[in-house]
Amino acid sequence: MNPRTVTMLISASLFVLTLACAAIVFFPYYWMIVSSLEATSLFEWPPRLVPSSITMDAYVRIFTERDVFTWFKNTAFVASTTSIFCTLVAINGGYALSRFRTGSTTAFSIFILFSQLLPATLIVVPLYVIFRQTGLYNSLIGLAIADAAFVLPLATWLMKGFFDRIPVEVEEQAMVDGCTRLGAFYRIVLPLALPGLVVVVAMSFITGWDEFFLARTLISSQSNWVFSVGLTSFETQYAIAWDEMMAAAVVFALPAVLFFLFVQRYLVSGLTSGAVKG
Amino acid sequence: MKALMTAAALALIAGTASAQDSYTFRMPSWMWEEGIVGDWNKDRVAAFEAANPGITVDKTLIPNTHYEQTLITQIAAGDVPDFMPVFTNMLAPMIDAGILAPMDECIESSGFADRILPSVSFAQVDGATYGVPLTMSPQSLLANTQLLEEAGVGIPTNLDEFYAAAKAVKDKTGEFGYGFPNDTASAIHVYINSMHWLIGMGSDWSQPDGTITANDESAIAAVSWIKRFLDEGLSPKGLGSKTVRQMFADGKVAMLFDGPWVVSTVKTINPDLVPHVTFEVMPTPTHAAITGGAFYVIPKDSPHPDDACRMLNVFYDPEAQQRYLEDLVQIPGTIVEPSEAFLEEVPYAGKMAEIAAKYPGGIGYAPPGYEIQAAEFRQIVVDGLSRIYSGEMSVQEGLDALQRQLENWTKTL
Repeated sequence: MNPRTVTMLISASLFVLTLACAAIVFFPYYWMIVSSLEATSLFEWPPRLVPSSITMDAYVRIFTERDVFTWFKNTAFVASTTSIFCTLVAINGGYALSRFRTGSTTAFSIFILFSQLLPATLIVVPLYVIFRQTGLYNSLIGLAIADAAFVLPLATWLMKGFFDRIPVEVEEQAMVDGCTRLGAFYRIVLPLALPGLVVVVAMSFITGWDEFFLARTLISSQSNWVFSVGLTSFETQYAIAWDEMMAAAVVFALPAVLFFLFVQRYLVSGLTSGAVKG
Repeated sequence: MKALMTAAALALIAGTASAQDSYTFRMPSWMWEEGIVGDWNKDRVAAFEAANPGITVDKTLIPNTHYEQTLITQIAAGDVPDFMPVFTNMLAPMIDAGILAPMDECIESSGFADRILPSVSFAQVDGATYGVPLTMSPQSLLANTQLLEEAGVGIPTNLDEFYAAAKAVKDKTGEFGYGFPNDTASAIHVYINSMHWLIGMGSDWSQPDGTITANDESAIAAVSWIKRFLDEGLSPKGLGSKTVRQMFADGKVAMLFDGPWVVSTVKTINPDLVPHVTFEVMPTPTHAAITGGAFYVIPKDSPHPDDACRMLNVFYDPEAQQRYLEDLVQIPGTIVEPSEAFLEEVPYAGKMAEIAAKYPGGIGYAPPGYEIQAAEFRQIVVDGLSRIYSGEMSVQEGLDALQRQLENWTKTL
């Protein structure tokens, strides 16, 4: 077998393998969509990969009988607030840790990394008490703060990594040309760190969008439910409204998918360029 | 001017008085949106509010999937509700943790003391009563008579007939003969199913003195029976209890071991099937039916325990309890005499009471001797069962390993 044929065979095998992996990854999403549209029983054996008939009834029901709009609005608010808050703090914190290196900033950066090791279950009771005392319990702002607290350490470290990659000389040059440090940061350094910024925005947004544990603990009233908590209400004590739950899951996933499609170009370059310092 | 000031003063006093008298009574529950069960509960709350002007009940819905964890977090953080329902399996750990208030005074002063179900004893520790039954129903054999007829078999009364019926349903109708939860990610329901079989064979995972009996002869026989249905494709694999109930309601499963609440699911999903559903004696050798349900409790630090007690009287109103039995087809927390019309409409209701009386298999889902640590015990058992169900180990090997694991675990207590 000549080397060209071997190369082609390897390429073809890799292609098939990639397709198989993609199928494994995408099948749950496909099944979620099919289950939300299936008009007849979901419990056929063997299962039907293609629905025999399609209906939008489950979608109609979730929008007419459930508070999906409220969940959506609340989730969007929490995700956006988490994202804005996290990004603002992370870019400033990351820049400070990158550029002003002293013993205390190094200790602080290790400390915030350490805080990432604490699982949410460990701090949920103290968090609950603090939130009750400060009036943040059962508020969407409170939930956004709690979500941000969990994303912030990683976001700050990510931004620090991106700022480390940008030569300090670029900044100094801007300052020689008349920029203040703040001006150099916002006009020169931050645009160069755009891929990192997108990663932080996306990561914090998604955390705020799909977080469940804190949401179910720190939110009590149904009017403040976010989507992840609302989804659990399709499972009652005795049954699960699968079609409605899957329809709601599709609606829930859609904005996140669109958001990722929008930022994926930056996201890939951001993740890879932040991975290596040099 | 003087009149205006007087009016303002009166308004202020009235406002203060109103602020003192009016308050929000907090009652979290998983049931507020549970169809007809939710409607019954909301109706009772409305009756309580009408009888107690100024009190507004905060009906916080905590989905049942995370009811226990959320409630425990809130109570641990000092945010204690006034009154709440709890699942049977939550009771012992909560009593042990000192979270609940004794309710004896409340019961004595109530109008329902002489009507409470005897299962109240499950909530009694050292002479004090920490809960009153909300509902207590036996779990037994639920069968779809339509599918059984199609398969040419009757209601099974023993294990051989049960197996033959499950096989006939599969062979002749293509549907599953017997459905049971075997999604081991949800420990409690897989454990409950194992209880049906073990207790049905005259054994259990442990004895009241704490002896572990995971690999005794009856346990091996029980788990072998369960596995047989999976191995032969007579039962669907990897499903949780709720999905199995839905499959039963959809006519995709002919038989399951569960409580009468399944009928509520059938009523909601497939009302046409209701006349074909029957509740029968367990086909196991002992016919034992374990009893499950829920209790009402008052937390020790409840801000309004007296009102919680008044709330109980509203819930236990005889007419409301009658509706609980006849509309929800579930046994309420107090003794209720079913009407003739109800018995005619739901012929198996009488059998349900008879099964509970004749074949008591114990209340709750805790292993004897390990009521406080039940959750951990159940998880160990279900992890062991998952190794057996998946074929990683034979029944004998798996149960021997489980016996050793449980014995080692008891040494850490």
